[in-house]
Formats: sequence, structure tokens, C-alpha cells
Amino acid sequence: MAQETATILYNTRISGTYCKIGLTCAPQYASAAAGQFVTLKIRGRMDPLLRRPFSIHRRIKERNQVVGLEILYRVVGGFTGQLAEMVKNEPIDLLGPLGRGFTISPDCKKPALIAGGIGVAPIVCLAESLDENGIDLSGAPVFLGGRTRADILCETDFGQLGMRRHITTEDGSYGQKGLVTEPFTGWLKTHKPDIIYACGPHGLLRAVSGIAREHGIPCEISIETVMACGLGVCMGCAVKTRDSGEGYRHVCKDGPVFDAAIVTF
Amino acid sequence: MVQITQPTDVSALCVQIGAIQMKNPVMTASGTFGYGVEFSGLMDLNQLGGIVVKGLSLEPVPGNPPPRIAETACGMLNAIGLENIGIEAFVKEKLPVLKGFNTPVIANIYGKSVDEYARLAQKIDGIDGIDGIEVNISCPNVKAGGVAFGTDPEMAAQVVAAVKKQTGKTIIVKLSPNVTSVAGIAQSAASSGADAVSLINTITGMAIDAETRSPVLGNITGGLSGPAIKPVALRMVWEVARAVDIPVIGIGGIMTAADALEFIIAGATAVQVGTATFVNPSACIDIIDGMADYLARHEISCIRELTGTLSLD
Ligand SMILES: Cc1cc2nc3c(=O)[nH]c(=O)nc-3n(C[C@H](O)[C@H](O)[C@H](O)COP(=O)(O)OP(=O)(O)OC[C@H]3O[C@@H](n4cnc5c(N)ncnc54)[C@H](O)[C@@H]3O)c2cc1C
Ligand SMILES: Cc1cc2nc3c(=O)[nH]c(=O)nc-3n(C[C@H](O)[C@H](O)[C@H](O)COP(=O)(O)O)c2cc1C
Ligand code: FES
Repeated sequence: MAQETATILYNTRISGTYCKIGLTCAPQYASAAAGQFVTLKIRGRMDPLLRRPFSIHRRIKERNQVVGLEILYRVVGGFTGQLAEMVKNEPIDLLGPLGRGFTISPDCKKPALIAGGIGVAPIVCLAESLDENGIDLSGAPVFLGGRTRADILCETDFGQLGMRRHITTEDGSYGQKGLVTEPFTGWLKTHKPDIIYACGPHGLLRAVSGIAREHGIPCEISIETVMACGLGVCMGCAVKTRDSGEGYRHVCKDGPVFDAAIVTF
Repeated sequence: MVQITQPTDVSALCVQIGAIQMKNPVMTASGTFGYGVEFSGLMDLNQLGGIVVKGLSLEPVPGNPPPRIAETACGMLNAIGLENIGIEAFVKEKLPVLKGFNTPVIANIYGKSVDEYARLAQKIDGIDGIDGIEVNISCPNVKAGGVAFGTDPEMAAQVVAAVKKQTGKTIIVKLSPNVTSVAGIAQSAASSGADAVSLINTITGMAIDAETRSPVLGNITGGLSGPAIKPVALRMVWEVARAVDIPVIGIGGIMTAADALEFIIAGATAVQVGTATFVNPSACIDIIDGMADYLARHEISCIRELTGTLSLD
């Protein structure tokens, strides 16, 4: 983990309120796990005050060396609005990699990936990491859900890895109409993955965790809370889990990726 | 003849709080620096004036239900509920690592009764590697119906006297701003044996989500910290410094060296940096460097000369 002044390599709007920003980063990000996150701060700005957490979306490589990070973000408020205004070559304070990412095990050869909206950000990194770890993704499913067509992102990234994309939108403007869990439960009737990975809104994670439990399939999910430090020192990101007893677990340190079986919704 | 000033003279920044010698007046504020060890990979802990660790209680405390954090204009509310691993685990698991650094360690403590404070002080008294105790009196006294010790001069005096009886270590009493006369509480702490007072703790506040008409924090109310509280903190430090003879440690919204220097000028001997560490984990180090620059620029040979030099003409 390191704090550094990163330089913006590019910052572009990809669709609607979604943007991608490329940042220079320390070489140690080469060993960052998918699902780990960074926090960003525009120096000198008092409002918003706190750093903001973002998943590592992709590692930018040149000749097999990691030279930067890509973050996929959605403009939702103060910080993300300011971030979208920033341009190439401007500096930004970068801290990371933080937290615990997805676990990739050589025993799990048949993964199923599920992402809702901006939750796709770490799932792309995960797919790339699975591929790098020699897990054959050709034909492996990724379920992408969103409210509308504009919320379906990164389709081609999964396509390039040979993955089979199942798309749903709530308004039916693209793919199948409905929730991402519908094609997923349908698919499970004829397939049995050995691990499910998911990231997205609370409702999606709850539904997916329930489905995984019913089918007895291991499942890892990435969850979000408000964070102040991101370093495990403020105790601000507490969540109750089935194994936390009287106490709490801390999303920035014990997560953001958790075994779905221990998360209480 | 050209006079050679030594801007980086190490002794220029050193201060003393009770029996604790600090190489500079910048400490971490309790609850914002964990148990210190978490930062060892991010900075050289040897550079800090002092490390004040997360508030410790006799037994581990789980803390409040989430959400525990809400950001507000130029500040944040927290309702952590003093979640901590307890004094014993701290001494066993964290302190051995902290001992490896040449920086004073101050244990922030809190109890729910006078007796709990006394027992904590007694435990700490025999522990090598803890240089001082910061007594957080902003917590509710369960026995007195939940009234905070820090809001009543008489109760504050009882806590400080009980701690003093158990330990020869330096005692810092951390004052709550949620009172009518902070100087009165400070005087009461000083006359009961405090070696120093530190202020301010967070200011009680709340945040509401108008869409859902519900409180943002699980605990409904929380403590406000960050730049938003600095003017209040400065005023209180100024009032307290004029009311007591013991050193005052200024806390509240310090983000930069200039902020820290304002507290020193208002009458503080040292400062603590809290929320700024969340924004920039190396804030303390940047502040120390900036203070050294200021001394050199103003040809002040020693930070102690600056304390309480507010010019009123
Ligand atoms: C571990 C982790 C990883 C994340 N990864 C990404 C990512 O890769 N891409 C991305 O775009 N976002 C990500 N987020 C969410 C991101 O941190 C928030 O969107 C961001 O902090 C909003 O800041 P803001 O100042 O723009 O919005 P604010 O002004 O703070 O908030 C505006 C509104 O946005 C919504 N909002 C704020 N914070 C969150 C949050 N944490 N989760 C959901 N909604 C929120 C709320 O409805 C709020 O009212 C992640 C969060 C966590 C905890
Ligand atoms: C998340 C958080 C946790 C805190 N925990 C403690 C604590 O355990 N004990 C204590 O005396 N003060 C605690 N404080 C108060 C700080 O030490 C400090 O007095 C206050 O935040 C004001 O300083 P700042 O504006 O620089 O943060 C906490 C503050 C924050 C933000
Ligand atoms: S955000 Fe501070 S402990 Fe997790």
C-alpha cells in the first residue's frame, strides 16, 4: 500500500454519466488483486473533504509491465462531478491498493460473473485476472444488468475474453427485459458453476447470495459502505456479518469482497 | 556579518508535556490513527511528536450500529461508539510494535464510571512503552444517568483525581466542547492533578436525509470534526490557555501547518491532527515540515516562544 501523486493519463466520458480515468501508479499494483480498491483525493479541495473509494477496473500494461490503473466511475455527486472535470496531466492523490479482493483458486475452473450497473468495475478486473491465472473463460457466463441501455458497460471487454454475455435491462431497452437474476436462475437449471462472483447494488447482491446458497455454490460479493479512512483505522465502515459475533467487520479491511455466506442483508 | 540560522535545528520544534519530551508538537488525535501500527508502512512513525492511540476501555467494545460516518460541509460526523480491542489486547498485540519507534505513545482511555477510569490507569501505570494517558471525559457516566463526565466540573475532577491516584505517568485530560464553560472544566482538571489538557473533542451534531426523513447515522447523533470546527476549537483553546497554567494541546480541524500555528499562537503548546489524516495519511508529517519552515522564515529559534503570542493591539 502506498500514497502517491498520480498523473492523469486520460479522463473520458464513455456513456451517459459513466467515465473512465487512467492514472499512473506505483509498480506494486502489478500484484493487486481484483476487487481491491484505491482512494482518491483532489488536493486542496475542502468540499468534499474525505477521500473517495473506487475499485481497480483495469491495470494498464505496457510490454507486460503495469504502468497505470483505470477506474470506471459514475458521476453521482460532489467528488465524482469534480473528477469528471479533470484533464490529462493533472495530478491526483492516489492511495492503494486497499482491502481484500476476490480469491482466485486453481480449483475453481467454472466461474459465473454477475454485475449490476457500475458494479461491473471490479468484475472486468476479475475476468482479466482469472484469464491471467490460466482459467479458461471461453464460453464462461457474465450476467450484466442495468436500469437502461446506458447502464450496460464493458460488454466488449468480456467479449474479448470469449465470455458469453447475458444482458438484461429493467426497461427492456437492451437485452432481455427484467432483472439480472432472471437469466441467471434460468442458466443455473442446466449449468453448475463452481464459484459465483458478484458486484452491484444491494438488492442484486442479496438475491445472488440467496441463489448461491440454494444451489450450494460458493459465492463472493463486493459490498460498499461509506468510508472515512479506507485504512482500517477509523472503524467507520462497520458491517454485521454472521461470523462477527457481538462485533462488526470492516469493509475497507476485511472486505470489500466477502464470502456471501457470512453477509447479513 | 551574515548570521547563519539553522532552519532544521531539531531542538527548535521540541516541546514538553508533563514528563514527556516530544521532538515536535504534532501528535495524532485519538481515533484517527488506529493503534499507530497501521501507518508504519505509509510513513516514518519516528517523525511524529507523539502517537495518541484509539480510545481504550477495560474490555473490547463492539461500537455503534452502522452507518457510522456522514460527510458534512467541510467536515464529518462520526458515531463509531468507541469500538476498540480493549487495553489488554492493545498491550499484547500493538504496543510491542510501537515500542520499536522512538516516539512517545499516549493511551487514550475512557470508562463508564470513575472506577473504570481508575482501573485503566492502574493497569497502564505498570506498562513500559506507554508514556502518558489521555483521559477522554466526553463519554457518558452510566452511574450518573448518562451525563458526560466532561460536562460537569465536579465529575471531571473526580475522574482526574482517581486517575492521578493510580499513576505517576503524564496525565492529559481531553475536554469536550459540548459545555457552556470549557475553561471551568479545564480549571477543575488542572486542580485535580492533570499535567495538560487537550481540546476539543468532537462537537455533537446530526445529519438528516430529507428524502427518507431519517437520520443518516445509525446512532442518530454523532461528533463533528474537520475544518468546519476549527474556529470553535481555536476560540476554546484561547479561553482555556488563559485560564490554566498547565500546557494546552490544541485539536480541531487542523489540516495545514498554518492551522497548527494558529492554535499555538492562541496558547497551545502542542497540537493533535485528526480528520486530516483521513484526507491525507501523511498530514502530520507535512504539518511538522511546514511548522519548521515557519520558524525559519520568522527567525524564531524555538516553537515554545510562539505559544500564546496572539497580538491584541
Ligand atoms: C469499495 C468501494 C468501491 C467502489 N468502487 C466504485 C467504482 O469503481 N466506481 C464508482 O463509480 N463508484 C465506486 N464506489 C462508489 C463511490 O465511492 C461513490 O460513488 C463516491 O464516493 C461518490 O462520491 P461523490 O462525492 O461523487 O458523491 P456524494 O456527493 O458523496 O454522494 C452523492 C450520492 O451518491 C450516492 N453515493 C455516495 N456514495 C455512495 C456509495 N459508496 N455507494 C453508492 N452510492 C453512493 C448517494 O446516493 C449520494 O446521495 C465504490 C465504493 C466503495 C465503498
Ligand atoms: C472517527 C473518529 C474517531 C474518534 N475517536 C476518538 C476516541 O476514541 N477518543 C477520543 O478522545 N477522541 C476521538 N475522536 C476525536 C478526535 O480525537 C478529535 O478530538 C476530533 O476529531 C477533532 O479533531 P479533528 O477535527 O482534527 O478531527 C475521534 C474522531 C473521529 C473523527
Ligand atoms: S473506512 Fe476507516 S476503518 Fe474502514
